[in-house]
Amino acid sequence: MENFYLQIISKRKQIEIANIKKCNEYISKYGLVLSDNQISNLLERRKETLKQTGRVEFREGTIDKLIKEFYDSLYINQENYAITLYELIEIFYEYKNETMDLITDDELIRFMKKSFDGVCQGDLEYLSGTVMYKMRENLLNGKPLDASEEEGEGYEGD
Amino acid sequence: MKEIDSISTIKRENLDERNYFKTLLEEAYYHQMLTDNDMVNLQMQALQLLDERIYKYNGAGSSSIRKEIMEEISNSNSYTIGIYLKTFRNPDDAIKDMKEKGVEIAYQEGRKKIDKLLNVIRVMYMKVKENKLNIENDTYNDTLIGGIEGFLKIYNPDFKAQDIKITADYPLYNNLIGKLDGIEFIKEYLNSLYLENIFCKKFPEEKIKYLLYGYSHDYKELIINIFEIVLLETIGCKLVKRDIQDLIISTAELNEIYFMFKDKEKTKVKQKINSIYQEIRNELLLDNQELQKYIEKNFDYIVEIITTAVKHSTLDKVFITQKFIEN
Repeated sequence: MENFYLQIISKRKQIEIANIKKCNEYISKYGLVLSDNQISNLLERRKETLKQTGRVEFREGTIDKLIKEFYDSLYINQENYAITLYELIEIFYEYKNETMDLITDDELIRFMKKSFDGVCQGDLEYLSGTVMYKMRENLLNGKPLDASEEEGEGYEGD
Repeated sequence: MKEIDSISTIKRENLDERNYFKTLLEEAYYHQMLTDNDMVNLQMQALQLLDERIYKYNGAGSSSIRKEIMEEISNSNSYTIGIYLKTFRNPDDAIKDMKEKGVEIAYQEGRKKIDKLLNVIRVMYMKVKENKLNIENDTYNDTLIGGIEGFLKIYNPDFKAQDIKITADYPLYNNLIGKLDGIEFIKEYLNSLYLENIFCKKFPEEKIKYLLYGYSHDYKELIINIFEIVLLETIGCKLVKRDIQDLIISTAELNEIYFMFKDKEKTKVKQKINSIYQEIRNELLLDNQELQKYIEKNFDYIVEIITTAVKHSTLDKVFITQKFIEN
């Protein structure tokens, strides 16, 4: 049974690598490229994060969704590209748990991108420590995800 | 009839009722009814099923799931498949069917069977409510009304078929905890309650209340099995040749029972209790075969209670004696 799981995991890994490489082809036009080593590290980081957060991925696509959403951010360049993705993966899975799966992957990724580019100005610590925490509270209290302390206002003042 | 008579390589008693699918596969593999390839193939199908079920649970919006939820869904699938496989009297036929039709079909058939069982449970619940005892005992009333109703409202056969989600606090004469799960547990629980109520209904409720009061002034709050107390008292009455409808004995009669069994071996006690039970059965016109089986299934336990109580001079906890009711 275990061997069989390993086979499936290995097959999925190959698909993921191929998908990320496809993203590479397109995004390289914007000056961003992930090396084979970085791709491998991304998958390793994802595996570790899933373990830490007690989650199981049963469909591929989260990493390439993050890449496709974040590649055009003003705060991402070739130098910090891979490291930013590592951090985003951790934030993503942590808040899948924290939000009790109440929001979809796409909604969560869009919110992360909007906040990263907006109120966080590329500051990942602020994103994970403050903005995501507030978003969780808002979600659980039935408020809009980006509601600020003052009722009705978004982080960016809309 | 032919099916019953056919000999099965896999013995039903070797299969775990709570992990039927898994233990059936293991036994079939052990008896070389499944090859390595068959095992891989069936496991692959089980994983495909899990993948589909998780996708249904999560919807298209999420590609990951918490591990404990995945495990719950996986257990639910296995439980549902097990429900179908148990419909084959002969476990060998269950393996043959699954090999031919596949895991997905076994799951779907199990799911249909659960729906049928749910309908059976709804009818049974009505019947149990009809023959319910009008006795104030919190766990009895709370489990019977709130607990079962709660189960019918929140049972999730799609993703948590093995989970009953409620605590069936009222203890039964035949304990089911740890023996069955999910809808099978509830069905058996209701059926047991129904049988226990049939027996208790053979006695006036006022007598049962008096008996329970004698058992403990706090009987309303205690977690006790009413049936067991009533059954034991009928045995007590019969042992001292008292009308079982009295449902109580005197202190002198209690002593009489004590001396009756004091130096007796367990086998002798068993013989005596057994013959007494036959008399009770005839007197109460217990023609319900299922009820008879239900009582007799746990007969050794009754004998054990009595012999232990004689040994430790605690027979007054088994056979309740008349007490003065305070107002």
